[in-house]
Amino acid sequence: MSQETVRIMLSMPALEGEVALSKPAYRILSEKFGEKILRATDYRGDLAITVAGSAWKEAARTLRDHPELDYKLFLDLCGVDYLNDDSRPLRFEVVLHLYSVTKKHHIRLKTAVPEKTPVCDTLTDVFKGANWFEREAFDLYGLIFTGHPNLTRILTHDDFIGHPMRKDFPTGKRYVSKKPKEWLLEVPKGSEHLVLNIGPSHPAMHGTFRVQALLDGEIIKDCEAEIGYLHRNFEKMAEERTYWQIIPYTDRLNYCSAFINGHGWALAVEKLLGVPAPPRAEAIRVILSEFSRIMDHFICISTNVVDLGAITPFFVVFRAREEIYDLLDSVCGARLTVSYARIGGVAQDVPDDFEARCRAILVWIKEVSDQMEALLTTNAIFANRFKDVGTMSKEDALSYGWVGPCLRGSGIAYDIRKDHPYSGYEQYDFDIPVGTVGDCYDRYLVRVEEIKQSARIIDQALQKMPKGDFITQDRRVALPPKSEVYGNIESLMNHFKLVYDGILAAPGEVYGYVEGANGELGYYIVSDGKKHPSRVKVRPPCYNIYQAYPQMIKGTLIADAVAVIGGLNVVAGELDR
Amino acid sequence: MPKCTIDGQEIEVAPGTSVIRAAELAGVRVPRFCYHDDLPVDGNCRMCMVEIEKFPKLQIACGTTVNEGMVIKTQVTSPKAKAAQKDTLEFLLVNHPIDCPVCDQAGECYLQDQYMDNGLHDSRVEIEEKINKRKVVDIGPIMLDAERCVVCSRCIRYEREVTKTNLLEFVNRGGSTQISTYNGGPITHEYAGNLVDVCPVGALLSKDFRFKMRVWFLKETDSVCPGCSTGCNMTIDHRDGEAYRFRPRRNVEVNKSWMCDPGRDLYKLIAPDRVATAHRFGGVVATTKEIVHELAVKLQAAGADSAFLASPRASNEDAYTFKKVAQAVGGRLDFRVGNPQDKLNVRKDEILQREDRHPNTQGLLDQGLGVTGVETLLADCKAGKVQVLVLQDGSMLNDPAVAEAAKTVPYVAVMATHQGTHLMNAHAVIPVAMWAETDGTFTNFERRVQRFKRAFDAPGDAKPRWEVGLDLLERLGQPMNAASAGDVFVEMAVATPAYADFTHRSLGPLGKSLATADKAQASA
Repeated sequence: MSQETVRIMLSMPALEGEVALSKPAYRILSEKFGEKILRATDYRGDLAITVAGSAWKEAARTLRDHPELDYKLFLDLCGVDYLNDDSRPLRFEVVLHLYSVTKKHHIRLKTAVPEKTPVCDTLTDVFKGANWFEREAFDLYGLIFTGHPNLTRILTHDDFIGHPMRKDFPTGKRYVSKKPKEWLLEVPKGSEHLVLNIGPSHPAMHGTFRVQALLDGEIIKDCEAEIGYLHRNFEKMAEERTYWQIIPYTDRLNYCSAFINGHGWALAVEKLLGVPAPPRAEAIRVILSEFSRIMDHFICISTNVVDLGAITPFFVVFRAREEIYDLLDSVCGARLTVSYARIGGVAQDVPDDFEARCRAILVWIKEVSDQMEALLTTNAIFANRFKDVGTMSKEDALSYGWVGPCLRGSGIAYDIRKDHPYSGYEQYDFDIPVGTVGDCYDRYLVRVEEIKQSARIIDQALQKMPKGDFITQDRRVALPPKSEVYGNIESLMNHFKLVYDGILAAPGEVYGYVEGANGELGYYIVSDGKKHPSRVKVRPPCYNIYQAYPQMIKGTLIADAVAVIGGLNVVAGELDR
Repeated sequence: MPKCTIDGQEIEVAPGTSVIRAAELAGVRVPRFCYHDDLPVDGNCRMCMVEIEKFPKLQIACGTTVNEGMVIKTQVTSPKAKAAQKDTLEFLLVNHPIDCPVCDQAGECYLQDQYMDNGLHDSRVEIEEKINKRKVVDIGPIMLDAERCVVCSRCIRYEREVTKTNLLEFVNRGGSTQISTYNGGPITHEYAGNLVDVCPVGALLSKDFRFKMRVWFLKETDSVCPGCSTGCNMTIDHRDGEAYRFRPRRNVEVNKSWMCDPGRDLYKLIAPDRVATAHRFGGVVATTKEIVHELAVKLQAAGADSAFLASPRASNEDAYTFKKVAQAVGGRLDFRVGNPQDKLNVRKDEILQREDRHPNTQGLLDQGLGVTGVETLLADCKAGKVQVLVLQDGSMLNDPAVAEAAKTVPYVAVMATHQGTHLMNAHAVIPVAMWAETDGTFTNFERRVQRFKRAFDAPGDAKPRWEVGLDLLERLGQPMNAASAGDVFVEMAVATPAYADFTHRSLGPLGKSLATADKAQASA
């Protein structure tokens, strides 16, 4: 506030040049596109290349097809608004994130888009997953993707006026839109097919989302999905909050495994700041993340089979889930939305009986997962409903941007905990299960095995649990203890400054990612040096996964559609954000 | 021009520049308490220590002048300087009370800022060991808290050099040193608010602003004080459409870092008793659209039998559209009610204030709005020669001569900001925005064109005066192609050659002087 003072910000400005130059993606793209490569940065190890709009699609195709690059996994595509950045000649940017599961490297490809004609080539013919992401960028930023097959609003209602993520769209502006969209499909005139709406409120749809299916008897001839019922624009809210204040919002993404979201957010911000969390905090985070993963898998499997008529496993596994909630309660006082992660650590240390409680729960988990397996794995009815249903090929899975258990079910052993270990996962011994066929049964088996592997990780983490701080001692990031705040002026000022100014991250951008229960949960954060992030994009794993769902169930029985949806584990909080 | 190196960066500065200024020019802010851009250097706080090659000890950046070839390392590159600054800060905090939650300075406090930048140290002092001093001392418009003071003497130097009143002085010695007025008496001059601004910590706080609002909730908008013809640059601090305080904005050419207390108090005028809806005689409410239409019809009917009184409170843009309306119907036009032009350059005191209490008398003179002569115009009104009288500011009716003349005119239309009995005799009242609620420019006494920006919305149906002018012009069949105050300014600059080189954007935050532009033209 004071006109004479300027806070020095954390860490260094973005590096350009040498590091980026040595990376193959930069070399190959600059050989091929020459002057159309406008800028390359390498900030915190994130390679980002800006290309001219004319080279956008070809650059993406090159990244995908070049044998040395092999960026086959579509991660994310989003818009960014640089309205307040006078140094940029063009207002908008389209940002694409890709990953190579063979070469194990990420890339961020960007292109700038002008304000007056915000037009960009579509990537829908390069990556299948780009479809919904481009619709989202159109919806939230008004960016127009030429050649897109169905460029309509996706997260907001059709009656919505304006593009809410634009910086000049007032925060808090609302419209009441009551009119439902009656037809998602084009039904041929005179057709005798039955149109059936599955959802938005239907017990077999795990959350408020809707599929409209055109039925020929029991066969789904055509179908279309509609999402956005739970859209609250988390990303816009994040632009008005400090880095801490965003933590409770992340709990509302995948609320079945809320802690992992906060963990991912904390890691992404720590990457942006260059401030690591102490080892004890990392161990606590790993343990709670793995418990959350187990809970999430329990919910996924048990509710899936409830849809198929088997109610017993639900009651069996939920006993263990209840115990895990009690554990979270004892650690942080909340069960579902924990808000326990902090930038640079966790909110407080774990209670003294933490290890004993964890070990007791591990015994529970072993018992109930054995029971669950006995009830399901070799159960003929269950197997018949699951085997060869909802099969996904490796290629399509990558092109859609599938991640997590679903991708591993299709036979690709990509797990961030193994491939890009964070929070000390490299210390722990665990295996990555993969499927062979890519059907519902494989996805089920992968989840069952992951429950066991998670239990293994927890066991090791408990054994190795280090002593020490639960949050970093960096006073620019972590709040001082309350006793100090009330007791001396230094900590009081520290607390004040951190609460109302928040953490000031240097201008830069990072993509931080963790292995969520559903797969890669990524946060793309752009900082302009102010106390609020200038852009936060969540890469929600089930957004990509659910996008493939209408294609998967076309031509199948309606009963199969119900079997498939549960196994994809789509969580509306994360899907709609 | 001596050259020096600051943190490896070579920079050339004007002779006599201090190291602290040179570092600022190089983009490095050396922390400070006692150094102030507009006060003489004292060098007592020892916070701005830097390392200079060939000097055996660290030097204070504020008291050292840059010499040719100096190699300076600030806290950015010199661990020694950083450690010295850190230690100085720790010393300053030894006796500092644990007051942030009840201190209004929190959020714009040098101690807090510099702790986060350079300090970040742990405390080594127990509460019981701190020396207690006087707190909550009422010294007129200011509250003094001696415990929070860092003994930088900025306020003492301000009293000595700027107001020349010498009301503050140090008393006691060592750790018990504190500032005091003579016998604890009050600050009596009209520039006390600046003491609050020069104080880098919460020792001197404004009694008016105290406990009203936490500063980090406030938004800042650049503006210009409308209190007199000096045109001090200032910042409006506001939240949710309400102004909480005015602070001076540094402009060496106009007001340096200072502002008078009457100017600061003007924020209190913005919210209360505003005219929010248009109304007819007797308070009959109407829409602005109806009233403007009615006025346009009356003006067309009256033609040259109309009279216009512009207000030197209005911006250049307001005045220009008003003048265009008067010209469109050929009416009488003037603005010099009470002859402000004679007082334009008369000082009210030795510091900032001037006798002309209007911000834009010079701008209206430049545009040639003084045509008919106020006496003639009012005499014509009384003689029944005027059918329609348009006043650009409701407060003009407070002038007895204008009020008297208005009584005889069949139709009096007033653009008003504030309600009051003076509006009773008006036949049409159009609600208009105050300067804080629109964009525009004022031209001050020395012909400096300065821009102010819209901080928040006007209440109710109130519109900026230039917009009302545009509406009238459109209804009179002479529309102007302008959508914003900036557009109006461009057209005004065409009609007023002195302003020809400027646009809102090119004026910049500190404004541009027409006098220097004239000189440049003359020499060319």
